[in-house]
Amino acid sequence: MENIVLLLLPIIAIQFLLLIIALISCIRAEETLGPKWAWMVIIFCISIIGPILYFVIGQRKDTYK
Amino acid sequence: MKKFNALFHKEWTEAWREKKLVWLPAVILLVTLLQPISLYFMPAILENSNNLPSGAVIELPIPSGNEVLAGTLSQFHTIGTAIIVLACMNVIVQERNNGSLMQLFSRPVHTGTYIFSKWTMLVLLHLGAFTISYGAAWYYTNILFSDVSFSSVWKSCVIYCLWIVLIITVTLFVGTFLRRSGGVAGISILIAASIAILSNIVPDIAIYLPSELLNLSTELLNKNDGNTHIGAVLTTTVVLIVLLLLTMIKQFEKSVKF
Amino acid sequence: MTILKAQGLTKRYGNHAAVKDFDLHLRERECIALLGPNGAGKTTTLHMLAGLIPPTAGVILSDNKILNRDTIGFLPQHPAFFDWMYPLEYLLLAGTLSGMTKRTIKERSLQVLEMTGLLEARKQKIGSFSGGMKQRLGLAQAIMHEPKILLLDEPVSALDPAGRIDVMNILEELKKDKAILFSTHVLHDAEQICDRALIMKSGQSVSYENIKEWRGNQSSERYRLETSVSLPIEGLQNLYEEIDIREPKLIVGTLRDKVTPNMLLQQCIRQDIGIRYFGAEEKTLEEHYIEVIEG
Repeated sequence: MENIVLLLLPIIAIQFLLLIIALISCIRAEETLGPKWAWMVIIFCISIIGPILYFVIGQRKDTYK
Repeated sequence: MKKFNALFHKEWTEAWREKKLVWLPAVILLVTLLQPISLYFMPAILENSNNLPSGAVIELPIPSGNEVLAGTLSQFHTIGTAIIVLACMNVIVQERNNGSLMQLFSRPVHTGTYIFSKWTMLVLLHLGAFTISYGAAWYYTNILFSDVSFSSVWKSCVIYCLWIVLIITVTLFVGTFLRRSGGVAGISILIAASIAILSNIVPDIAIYLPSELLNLSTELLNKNDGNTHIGAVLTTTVVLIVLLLLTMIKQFEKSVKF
Repeated sequence: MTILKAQGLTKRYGNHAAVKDFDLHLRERECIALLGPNGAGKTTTLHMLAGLIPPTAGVILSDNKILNRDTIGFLPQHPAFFDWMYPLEYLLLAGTLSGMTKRTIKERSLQVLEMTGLLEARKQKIGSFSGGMKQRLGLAQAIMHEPKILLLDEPVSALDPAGRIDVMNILEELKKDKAILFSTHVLHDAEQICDRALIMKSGQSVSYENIKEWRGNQSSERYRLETSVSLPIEGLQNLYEEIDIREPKLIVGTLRDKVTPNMLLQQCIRQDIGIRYFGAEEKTLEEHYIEVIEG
């Protein structure tokens, strides 16, 4: 059993890292595409895919200012 | 060269500040590691599921290490390709749309330098992330299943890297034509898919198509000996990459800079 | 000496000519304003001169040689940077792309930030800059490599009045050793710092004004008269040679040959008309501009 935990540890760690970085980046962002709180929910609730979605779509600022 | 270095450095700083340098390797690592681990736990998962009649005994053949790694590659081929496209779709489009590109090009910069700085950075980033992830998957496979020889692993890795380079090049190429990142992603994936479909429709030319790269690298894992038609795929893929890069630079120079 | 010369510059998009047969002679240390309504081709002209788009026809020369891009500093209408960068990083990139050495870049970037009043903001990311600050950073990157020619596309239109004055002061300073060509909607600014003004209309230059000369040449002075009650026009017509009645209480015009301003005032006093304002009026560039554009 201990063996299994050890195996899964890196995976859980990476997932956690992804979540934290996405959250921090979202909080500190000047603006996001769409409401910020919605992105926080997405990042938090959908594991792996949520942070990816945020980084690829939510972060972008290609509007003409 | 100095200009290339300046732009190249800019790409890395940008990737770091926007955290692409962290999330992209992390995601690729997750995608590659998931396969060996889920295969390992498959029997346990099936046992614990309730919709099996009690007393049923499941005999799953334990896959060999080679098969597991080959499975990892095929899984990466679908999900990983999509992730690469998503990671590259914004690269040119964003700078062109917000006007920073125009300001940059008011200085004496060659379009080739600009495109190459982006391409080189993306290729290095993705290949680095993939190699590390593939190595990790190899490590897990060796522990959980049977040993796979290093020589076949690195060969398959190199062959598959070519596919990754091609996907990056295609996405950048589409990015020089379109102005919306969603469209860039859609068309790039469409191109990748149509290569695979074409190899099914016309099996005669399949050995020349880049989609053969996946088959080649999985074969290398299973057989560990050189494949006869390896040269054909390598040639077409490299030629395709070079052709795409040159067209892209020409096209970019001509009309879509702004 | 002509530092930037354009001859027969033309840009066509399909059948539509955005710029037609455009000529320009920009001399050293000269400032020319490019005026004209929206869509007159000002931006296209500047882009061609900056080498961003190739002209369909015509030549651009500097000292009778093909223009070297390093001698040009360009500020686009909407300066755009990389939001994640710091100002010094952008200037480093810009300087390197213009072929400057690392050491000169270090000195020069602090210098241009100082000039544009951004020295305090150098610890901020560009993404957090206001529109005015971005405009000033745009100016900083344009002058970074000490170009001889500055091409500025509406450097002040996006700024608030205070920012406008700031930028105009910077331009006044830069004028001492650079040739400047800038497009603007603010005619007052053009009048203030420019030696010449070039008015464009639907892709062509329609009028080339030497502002200083043209000011001195105004032969007949015009007088502006504002009163508190409506003016009896008939009585004044004997005094004014030409009257422009703006409102019943406000007229502007040139006086007849032997009429002095005092005679006009006496006439008003005699008729017991309250005077609110009386003075000589110069014909402004704005009036001239409207005449040219509409005429």
